[in-house]
Order: sequence, then structure tokens, then C-alpha cells
Amino acid sequence: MKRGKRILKVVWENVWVGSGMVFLLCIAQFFRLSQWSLESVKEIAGSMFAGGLVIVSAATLMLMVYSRYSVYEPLKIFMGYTRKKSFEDMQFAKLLSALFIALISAAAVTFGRWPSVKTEDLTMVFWGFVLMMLVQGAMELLTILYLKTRKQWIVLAAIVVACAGIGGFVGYNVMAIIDAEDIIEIQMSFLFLQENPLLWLLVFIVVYHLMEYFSWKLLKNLEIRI
Amino acid sequence: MSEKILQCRGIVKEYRKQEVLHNIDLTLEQGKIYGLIGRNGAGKTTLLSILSAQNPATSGDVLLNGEKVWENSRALEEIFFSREISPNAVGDSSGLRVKDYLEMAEAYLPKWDKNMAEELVELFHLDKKKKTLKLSKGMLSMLSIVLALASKAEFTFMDEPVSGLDVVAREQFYRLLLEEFTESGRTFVISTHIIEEAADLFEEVIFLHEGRILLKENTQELLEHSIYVSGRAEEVDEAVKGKEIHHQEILGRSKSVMVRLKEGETLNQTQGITLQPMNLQKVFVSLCAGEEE
Repeated sequence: MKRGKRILKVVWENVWVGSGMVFLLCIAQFFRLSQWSLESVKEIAGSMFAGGLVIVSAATLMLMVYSRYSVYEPLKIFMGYTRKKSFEDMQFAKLLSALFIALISAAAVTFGRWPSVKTEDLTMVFWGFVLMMLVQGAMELLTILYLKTRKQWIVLAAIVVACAGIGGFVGYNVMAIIDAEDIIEIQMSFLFLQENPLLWLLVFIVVYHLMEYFSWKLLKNLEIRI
Repeated sequence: MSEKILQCRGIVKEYRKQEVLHNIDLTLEQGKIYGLIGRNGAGKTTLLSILSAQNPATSGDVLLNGEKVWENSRALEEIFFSREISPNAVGDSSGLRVKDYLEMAEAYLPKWDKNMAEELVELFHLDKKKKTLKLSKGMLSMLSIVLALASKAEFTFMDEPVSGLDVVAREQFYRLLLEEFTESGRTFVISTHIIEEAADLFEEVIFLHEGRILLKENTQELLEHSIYVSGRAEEVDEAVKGKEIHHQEILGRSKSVMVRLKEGETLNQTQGITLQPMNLQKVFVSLCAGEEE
């Protein structure tokens, strides 16, 4: 399998986990409705799927980054793959995964709010993309730090947060679907970013690149254990 | 095609300021089976992992035909270190199944021989669906052997490949190794504790002791030139005077000593002493004991 194809396989795995979970919740929501119509499908897509996808994916992507670095990347290096290529693959996979999820979310918002799609809705999706990149970068750094030091507690907190996030989200929404008659609205709220978005974006870019820099510094001399 | 040479020059490895490999210089030539022999903690696994760029050296270089191996895809295509798979250890790979390893190998080892891998899996009765965590030590060794042999890498290193294998499986392994070696002319470095069993396979042996290479020599020549001399102390002393001696044992008026003769060298006298040929294990033990003395 060619390198590009292998990266896309990872991206596909990353995307379907989060989107599959939220999609199932949306299906459950749809079947709970008393009336089935295109309007209700649109409402679910715009109100529930778009926001839910980004939130759940942020957590699942964290776990996927952990799993890739703790299991598969050492095996690749064991089989003669270079650390540089492994790191590059992960960068592509992270970027493409977040991008695809953001695009799916944006498509769901557009479909759900059509024809009155607001710029703010799509802006929120963009910040969702930034969030996914940041959490992946943070998890990458923590996991490599763990591989370097072999101290499990370094990643444990992040794994617990991610699992609690997914569990809490799914649990809350399942309960809400059971209890409520109306469609649940899941909003991504990044209000604090609206004050000075460019400054925040710059801060996030710097933070992300710092995390990448330190991740690579640690990975490039990493000892492999399988 | 020119002969490939893997060299390491001045390899030093430190763990938390403690040096475990001391300035190792080593040359491995194509088309030989090397035995890497050393006590526990001698640094065998560390050395092999550095040679295969799985671990970085603190200083020094590993070169394949003069080209640095570290982070060099082209060079790494020629080298594979099938290290011990230990799913209970920190590696987090305990959830992986045998088939996951085989699929990864197919994807990432450029010369992977899928047919050979399938045949070996069948021969060893490995269950591809089984998680590595549930495999016995012997089964893990078998998986490691499958990866090593089917990798078809020019320089293939194996770390304790027969550990945990029963006698039948060990014989199967030695036979397979020899078949593969005869057919392909690949270079194998086998680290093992079961010295005598594998001694006939090794064209050259490398003795590693406390992070230093004690010896790298043709096995046959080493055995031909190593003699165990025993007898009355004075006679033994006279016989081995000026020779390279290792590991003396004195018991009352008797003395025994291991002597390594140089090419064409003979003992000073052979009367009143007993000469015994040595096997590889005894040579190794004597050399290590000599060093420790």
C-alpha cells in the first residue's frame, strides 16, 4: 500500500469513529420524533450532528493520536520506517482528519440551515477545526513524552478527559433523546473568540507549533519498544 | 553487485549517565551467520537495536557501505532487527493480533515475502487471530522468527530467537535458518544464550562482555586455537609461558588454564599435562571469567 493511501486509511479510521457515534445518536433522535420529514432531518443535521460531530471528534481524535503513537508508530519504526516519515504521516493524518470532520460539520450546518446559513455558524465550525488540531497536538506531545519517560500518568489524565468527554456526551444525549420530544440542539460556543479572533488564531498557531516542535524534538531520538 | 558491509564506529550508549556500551567498533560482512554471545545485561539487545536504528547511540555511527543508517530509509531497507516481542511490557501493543504484525510487516518491510510468512505461520501452528498478549513465550519467539526470516532483509538480527521454544521447534528453526542462509546468502546475527546448540551455525562469533567486544573471530579457528591445559602447576606454567592465557584455576598443586594460541603457535611442552579441546560455551565462560578476574 502506498504511503498516501496508508495516511488516508488512518484519516478514514479517525473520521468514522466520531462521525459514526454522532450519526447513530442522530438516527436515534430521528426515530424518536413523532413526525418524520425533510425539515426534521435538516434540523437534526444543523442542530445536533454538526456540533456533536466536532465535540465528539475532538475527544476521539485525542484517543486515536494516543493509539497511533503508542502502538502503530513504534511498530513502523521497528520495521525500518524513519521517525521523520512517521512524524510527517501523523501531521498529514491529523490535519486531514480535522479538515474532513470540519468539512462534514460545515456541510451538515449548510444543509440544516439552508437557505439562511449564517457566517457565525461556519465560523464556529472553523473554531471547531482549530480545537481539534489543538487537542491532537497536545495529545501527541503528551503521548511522545510518555513513550520517552514510560510514565503512564502523563497520558492518563488526557485519556480520562477524552473518555469522560465521549461518555458524558453520548450519555447526556441518549438521556435527552429519551426524555425530550424536541430535537436537541448542540451548540459549539466559542464566544470568547469573537472579541479578537485574529489574535486568538495567532496564539493558537504559535501554541500548536510549539507543541509540534517539542513533539519532534522528543520523537527524533525515541527508543523503540514493542 | 558489490558486497555490503555494515559497520559501527565508536558506538557509545549511556542510560542515565551509565555507559552500557563502550566505544564499540564492529564490522559485519555480507553472507555470514554471526553469533552474538554475552551474559545477561552485556548489551547485546542494545547493540542490535542501535545497529538497526531502532535506538539511537549516545555517540558513534552505524554505516552501511559508508552511508549512515540512522533515519536513512534506503539503508534501513537492508536491515531488520526482529527483537523480542513482549506485549506485557510498556509497548501498549498487547491488543494486537498475530495478523496485525504480519499486515504491518507486509506494508512496511519492502522485501517482505508473504508466501514464506504464510508457510512459516502454518509450520509453527501460529493462530493469526490470537492476540499477542495471549501467546506463550515460545509462540512469541515463533512470531519473531517469522518476521525475521520473511523480512528478507540483507542484514537480519535476531534476539534470543529460540528462547521459550521446545527442542523440536528449535531444531526446526536451525534448519530453516540454514536453508534460508544457503538460498539467499543473507547475513544473520543471532544473539543467544543456548551457545552449544547453535555453535555449528555460526561462521563467526562475537563475544560481548560488559558493553565491550571481547572477541570477534571465525568460530572454527577460535575452537582450533583454544585449548584447556591442566596438570601440575609447574608443568602447566612451563607449557603456557608466553602464551595468551585466560581463566586460571588452581586446586592444590594442580592448575588448569585456557590457552589461546596464535596461528602456527604451539605449546612449549606437552609432557605431564592434559590437553583438552574446548567447545564454544567453555571458551566463552573462560574468557568472561578471565575478564572478571
